[in-house]
Amino acid sequence: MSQYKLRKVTDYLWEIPREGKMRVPGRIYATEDMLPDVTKDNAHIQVANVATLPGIVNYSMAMPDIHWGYGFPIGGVAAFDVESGVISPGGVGYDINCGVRLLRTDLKREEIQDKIRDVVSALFQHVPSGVGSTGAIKLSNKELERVLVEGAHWAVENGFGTETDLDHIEESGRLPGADPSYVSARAMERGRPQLGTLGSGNHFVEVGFVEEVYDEKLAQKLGLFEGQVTMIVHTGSRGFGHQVCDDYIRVMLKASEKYGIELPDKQLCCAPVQSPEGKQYYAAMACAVNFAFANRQMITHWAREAFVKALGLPPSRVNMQVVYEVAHNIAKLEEHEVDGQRKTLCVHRKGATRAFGPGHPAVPAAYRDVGQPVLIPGDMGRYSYVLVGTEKAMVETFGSTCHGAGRVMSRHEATRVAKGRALKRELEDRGVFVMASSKETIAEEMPEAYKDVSRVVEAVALAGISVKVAKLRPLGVVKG
Amino acid sequence: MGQYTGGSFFEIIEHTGDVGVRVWGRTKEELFENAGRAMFCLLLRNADRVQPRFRRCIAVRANALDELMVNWLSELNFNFCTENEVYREFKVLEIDDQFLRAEAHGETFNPEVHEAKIEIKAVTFHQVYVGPRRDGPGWEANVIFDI
Repeated sequence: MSQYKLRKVTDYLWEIPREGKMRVPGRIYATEDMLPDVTKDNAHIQVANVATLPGIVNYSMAMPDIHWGYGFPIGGVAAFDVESGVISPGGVGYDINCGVRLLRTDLKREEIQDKIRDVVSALFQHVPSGVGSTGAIKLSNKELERVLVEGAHWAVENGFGTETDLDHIEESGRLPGADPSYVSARAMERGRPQLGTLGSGNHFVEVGFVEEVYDEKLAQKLGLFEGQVTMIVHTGSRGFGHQVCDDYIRVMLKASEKYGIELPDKQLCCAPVQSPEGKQYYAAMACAVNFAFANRQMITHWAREAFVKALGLPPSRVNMQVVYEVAHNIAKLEEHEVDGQRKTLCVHRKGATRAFGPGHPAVPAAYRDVGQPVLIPGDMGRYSYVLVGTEKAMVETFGSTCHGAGRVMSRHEATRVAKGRALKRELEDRGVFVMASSKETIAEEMPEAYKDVSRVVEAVALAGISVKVAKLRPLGVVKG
Repeated sequence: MGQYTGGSFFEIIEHTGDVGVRVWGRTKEELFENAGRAMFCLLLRNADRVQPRFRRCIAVRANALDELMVNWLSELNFNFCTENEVYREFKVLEIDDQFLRAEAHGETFNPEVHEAKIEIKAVTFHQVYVGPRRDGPGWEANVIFDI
C-alpha cells in the first residue's frame, strides 16, 4: 500500500497532498469505484513522483484510465515551465505519437453488414501488420529525413491522401522543430522499413458504425450520424519512435546527473527544456511524432483503397473523410494561462489526449466553435467514444483528457484465460469479424483484458473536461 | 542447452501492460547467455526451431552491470528488428561490469519456420536487477520489456 493518502476534492477528482519532495500536489480524475484499481498497481505513487520534477506547474495529473507506466504513469499529464522546467522521454513513452484517427463515410451500416468479411480481408491484405511488418515502400535516408520533418504533408505530397486530410489532424500532421540530425543512425535503420505499417500489440484498423449519438448538434458538426459507417486507425511511430526514446533515456540518465536533478525513479530521467539535451530530445521526438503522422496517413490511404475495392463502390460514394486524428503520447510546447498569465509550457501527455476547448486557434476551423474532437478507442469487442474538449479542460488540465480503457489483465494472463476458447468465433457471435497476424494477438487483446472504456469516459464527462458526442461499435477489426 | 519452453532457466514476470523475465545462471557468463535465450523465447513461439546457421559477434559497453544487461538485450533486439536475425545459442567470451563480448548463433527469421509472438519496443531500466541470486547460489537477472 502507498504512503500517499488520496483526498477527495469532488466525486470525480482526488488529490495527493504535497509532501516530502513533491513540488506540487498530485491530482487524479476518477470516480470512487475506480480508486482500488489505481492504488492496486501503485500508479498514484508515480503521480506523486512526477510532482517532484523541477518546474512542474499546478499539479501532476492523471486521467481516469491511469495505470502503471515506466516513470510517469500511463494517463499522466504534466506541464513544465519552459524556463525552469524539464522535458522527459519517460513522460512521452516509447511509442512516441501513438495515436488514433477517425474516418467517416457516407455509408450506412446495412450497406456493408453482409460484406464485412470482404472488407476486413481486403484491409488485412492492403495494410502491412504484425510483428516485424515492413512497408511496401523503400526509402533512402534522405527521403526518410523529409518524412521526419514534413510528417503527414510528405505522405500527401507523395500521393497518400488529400490536402483536406491535413486540416483534420492534430498539429495539421506536422510538429514543428523536428531535426533529423539529432536522430541516431540506429533509429533511422529501425524505422526505415516500417513506414506505412500497423505493427502489433494493441494497434488496429477497425470498421464500425455510430451506434448512439449523445449530442445531435455536436455530432452534426463532426459529420457523424447514427448508423453511419466509420473507420479507426490506431498505431504510432513503430520502431523509429521506440529507438528515439531508448536512445534519449540513456542521454537523459546522464543529463539528470549533470544538472543535479534528483530522481525518485530512474525512468523519470530528464533535462531542462532549454538545455542542449532537452532541445535535442525535443527535436528528435518531433521527428518521431512526424513519422507517426505520416504512418497513419499512408495506412489511411491503403485502407481507403481496400474499402472501396472490397465493396465495389466508387470512392465518391464511400466518401471516406478524416474526422480528426489525435496523439496519445507526446510532449508539446503550448501556451496556457497560469495564475492569470500566459505562459509557454512543455506539456507531457502520456496515454492522454489533447482536448482543447471551443475557440482555440489550434482547433481546425470546422470545429473551432465546438472544441477539438477527442477519440477514445475501447477494446475490439465493445465500443469506442467520440468526445470534444471543453473550456474547463483548458482551465484544469492544460486542455487534456483520457485516451482509452487501460488493461486489467497481463498479456500472459489473457492468453491463459483464452485457452480452449474459440475467441474469433465468440467475437463473430457478437457481430465483430476479426483478422490478426497471430491467434495469440486475438487472445491477448480480448475484450476482458481491458477495462470498460465507458466508465473512463463517464468520469471525464462528469468532471467536465470533455463532452460526449457519440459511441461507435466495431463490425470488423484488423489486429496488428 | 536448456529447455526452450521456459521453467529451467527463466520465468516470466507478469505485468499488466508489459512483460518481464527473471533469469538464472550458475555464473555471470551463463546468466547473460540465458537472458538472451529467454528473450528469444518471448519473441518467438517456437524458439527451439532456430538453427545455429551463422555466428554474430556482439560487444557492448555500459557504466554498470545492470546497464550492461539492458544494453546486451537491446542489441539482440535491435538485430532482430533490423536484420531479422533470430538466435538460439550464446557464448559469452569476455565480461566485466562494464564490457561484454559474446557470440550469438542463429539464422535469418523465416516466416515458414519461425513464428513471431511479440514485438519488444525496448528493454527498460524499470526495476532492473542483475546480481547474486536472491534465493540461492548463482546469479539472477530481472528485466522488464516494454511491448
